[in-house]
Amino acid sequence: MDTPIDRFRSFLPLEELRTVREQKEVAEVLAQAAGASQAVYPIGGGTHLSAGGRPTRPGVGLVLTEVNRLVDYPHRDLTVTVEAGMTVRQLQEILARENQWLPVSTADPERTTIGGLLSTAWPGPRDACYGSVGEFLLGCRAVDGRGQMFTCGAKVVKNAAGYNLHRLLAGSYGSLAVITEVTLMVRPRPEASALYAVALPTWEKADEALRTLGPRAVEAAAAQLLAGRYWADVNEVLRSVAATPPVGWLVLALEGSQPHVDGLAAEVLQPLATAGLAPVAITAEEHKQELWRLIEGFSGENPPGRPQEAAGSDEGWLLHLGHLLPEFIAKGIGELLSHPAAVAAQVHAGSGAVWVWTHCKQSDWQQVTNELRSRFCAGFRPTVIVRRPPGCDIPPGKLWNAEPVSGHEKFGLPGTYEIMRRIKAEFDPHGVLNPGRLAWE
Amino acid sequence: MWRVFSRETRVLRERKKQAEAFARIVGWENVLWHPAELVVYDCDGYTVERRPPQLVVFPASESEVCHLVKTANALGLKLLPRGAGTGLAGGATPRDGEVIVSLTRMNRIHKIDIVNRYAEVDPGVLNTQLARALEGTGLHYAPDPSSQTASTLGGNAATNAGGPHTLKYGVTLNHVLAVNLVTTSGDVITVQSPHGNGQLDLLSVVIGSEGTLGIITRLWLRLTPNPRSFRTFRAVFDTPEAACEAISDIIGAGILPAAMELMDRGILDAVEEAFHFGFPPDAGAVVVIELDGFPAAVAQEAEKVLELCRKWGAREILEARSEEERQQLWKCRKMAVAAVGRLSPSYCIQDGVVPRTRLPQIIREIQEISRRHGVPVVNVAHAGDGNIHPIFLFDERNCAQVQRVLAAGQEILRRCIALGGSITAEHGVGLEKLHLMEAQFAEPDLEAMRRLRRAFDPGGTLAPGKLIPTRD
Repeated sequence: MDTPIDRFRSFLPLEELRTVREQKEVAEVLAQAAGASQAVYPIGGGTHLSAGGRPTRPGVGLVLTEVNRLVDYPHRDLTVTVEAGMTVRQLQEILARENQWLPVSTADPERTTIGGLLSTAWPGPRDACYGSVGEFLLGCRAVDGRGQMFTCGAKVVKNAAGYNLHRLLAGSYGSLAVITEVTLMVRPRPEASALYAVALPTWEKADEALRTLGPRAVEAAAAQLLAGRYWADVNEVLRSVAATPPVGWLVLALEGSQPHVDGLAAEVLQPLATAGLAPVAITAEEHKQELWRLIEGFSGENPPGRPQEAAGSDEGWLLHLGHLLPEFIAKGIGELLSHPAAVAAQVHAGSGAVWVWTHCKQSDWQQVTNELRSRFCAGFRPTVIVRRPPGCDIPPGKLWNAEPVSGHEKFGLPGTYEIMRRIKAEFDPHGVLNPGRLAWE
Repeated sequence: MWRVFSRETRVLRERKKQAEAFARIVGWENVLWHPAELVVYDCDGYTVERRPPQLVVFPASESEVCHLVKTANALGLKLLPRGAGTGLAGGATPRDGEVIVSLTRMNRIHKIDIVNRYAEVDPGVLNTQLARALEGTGLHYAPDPSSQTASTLGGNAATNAGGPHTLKYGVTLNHVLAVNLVTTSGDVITVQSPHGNGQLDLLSVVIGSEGTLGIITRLWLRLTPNPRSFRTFRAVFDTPEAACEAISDIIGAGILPAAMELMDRGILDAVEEAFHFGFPPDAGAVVVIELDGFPAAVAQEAEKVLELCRKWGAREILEARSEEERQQLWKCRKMAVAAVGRLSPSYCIQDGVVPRTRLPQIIREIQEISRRHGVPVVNVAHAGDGNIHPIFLFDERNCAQVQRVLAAGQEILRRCIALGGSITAEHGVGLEKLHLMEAQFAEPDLEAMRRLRRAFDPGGTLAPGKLIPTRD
């Protein structure tokens, strides 16, 4: 049976694992590592280790799951402070006692830690309506690459004192500092919810559905375009919505007070029906949960129902992330999925975030990736690869699409990367934190 | 005497020579260099400290800004970006002879994309200019600081401006998709939130950086669907404390109104004199509560909100009966600070924030601090966020009174920190609160901020001496 270090070793060159229990221990480990110029790989639930480049510098795996205390929960202020190793599920359970929640979704809430969730800051299905995970972060405590602990932000919902350093740490993949404690803004739980699925027979109809939805895509708790055979293969509810497999489904989640849900449903459903796209209400609780599990799990390490790769296979799964402007979503996804290696896509229609799983021989990844990117040119931001197979050595620059692509020269300009490098040098002068994961290092 | 005269002439001559270098980029008509002209730019909305700039330049394009930065670097001059100068913390007040880069001529709305829900604008576009341009589209730009008729969108971004509707819709940072930034090397970079794509979120630190990390030359702003309906109430309480308790209970009950604004007796007097709105003359405080959304949803929320107001002794709750009345009520609130001019020759508005449940306590303490220092205070507050704005009334010609005002303000902000809050919620640090940063943050925290600043501006060219206290 695989031990944790075996599992992590398939992605990271670990010499040892250090499980810390106190925040100050994080500082001690990092101070020692800085002195010895030893690489440190922060690990939360280990759910996002396949994201980014494959590091080669041997180092210490710093496991934070035991740094997981509830620090303060003044629930009437709608804020909570917890240590970063607490899992998303644990946090949601604590918040549920006061009828509150953190309205973010993640693939594997039992394993994903709050610190890990913030460090990657991946787009989620509820982002357009409630805000991205980083937007709920009010402040944090972190330890930089010297082993120096610092705090940033505040514990109140509005603060303009100093830089939003805490927001810089969100999405930085632990490359600047290790987050050890966070203060989050939380929300009252919605009193009602409803879920609808619309079968999209053609890409033209998909486009029409999204245009009909218009700005309501950001008012719905989630508006998801699910495209590709995968969805029908793994979900009976979606199969029941359309007798013959369509090009995709539009799944709408409505949340809020009952009158809000009713009002939004009335505005959304009738125009869709008029356009010949009959929305089907998914009412059974188990069906709702199953569909949510799929939606939240799609960008996870092992999406529900996705075939596992046989040991020794020369094929592998790559997860690509891109962004499309709303008006290009249907056309863009249609083009992406016409690629033979593209198996399934999920689009958060409100924010335009696009996830695509491709499956191909590991030796073909570069060709597949280039072809995918060339089909994305009408979009807002080109795709990057956020999950790679364990043994796949795609250089970080290729993974993160750091080289300018025709039509997207703006992104990854040398000036931007230069500033990122200077920030890294200031916060992690010995280059010990997560080396080899990101393109701009 | 001769020696002084001669030195002044030399200084002036030197300044004109510097102005000439900038005039080659923007034209003489867009450079101010004479001391008599510079006086206008010696402070922003924080009038307690005044220092003239070395020069003021008015670029009209991004490329002109780039050239200005390179020229300043060549001449060894420091730069201070400025929007409309409506800031209330001295962020646009020169500190040591900087060249002000006023962005007000860059005022074009380049694109409003309804389908994709964003606007592309210059930094000098006024907040209300965009609001007017969006009328009838079904979309709006959510941040609405009280200064919105005068403040620029670039300035709003630089200070991460808030406003009454922050409570539900968030601050400026939540509504900026990307910006173009002219760096201290004079190059343009585009920064946007990475959303997991492996880059650093430079946008989040640029917003609210008060011009210290670069000069914002273009913004892509998120547009939000207009609410279906509004219901706007004014609830009259006998005391500000009772009003705060009601506000705290509303948030605690899980209701998130679009806005919840507090005005105390003192400010009501000023507002009433200016607008004759009909607030009861003996009201201790008025809370303006706005709910928005689907009519049935708003009705459900309104019922709960009114019940909680009554629980805390609201003796009169009136609802705006028309859009005109609603707008009038908001005008009262947003012009409240300006109306204070009727009460006193000078006033100084503070900005602090406490956890929402501590609002009743800080309001009590403000009254006590005001009494102790012998300076009258009136209060407005974005109460739903715990964001207080005590306004001290004084006469700036009376030096002793000015000192008492400053001392009282500092004491309030220190109490905000002690109660778990912050020295500023939306005005920023600027010059005014520089020394209080050390009260809120420990040295390692400030050092982390300095490191970030060094990464963007190694030479300390932009807005020197602002936002973070220097180590010396």
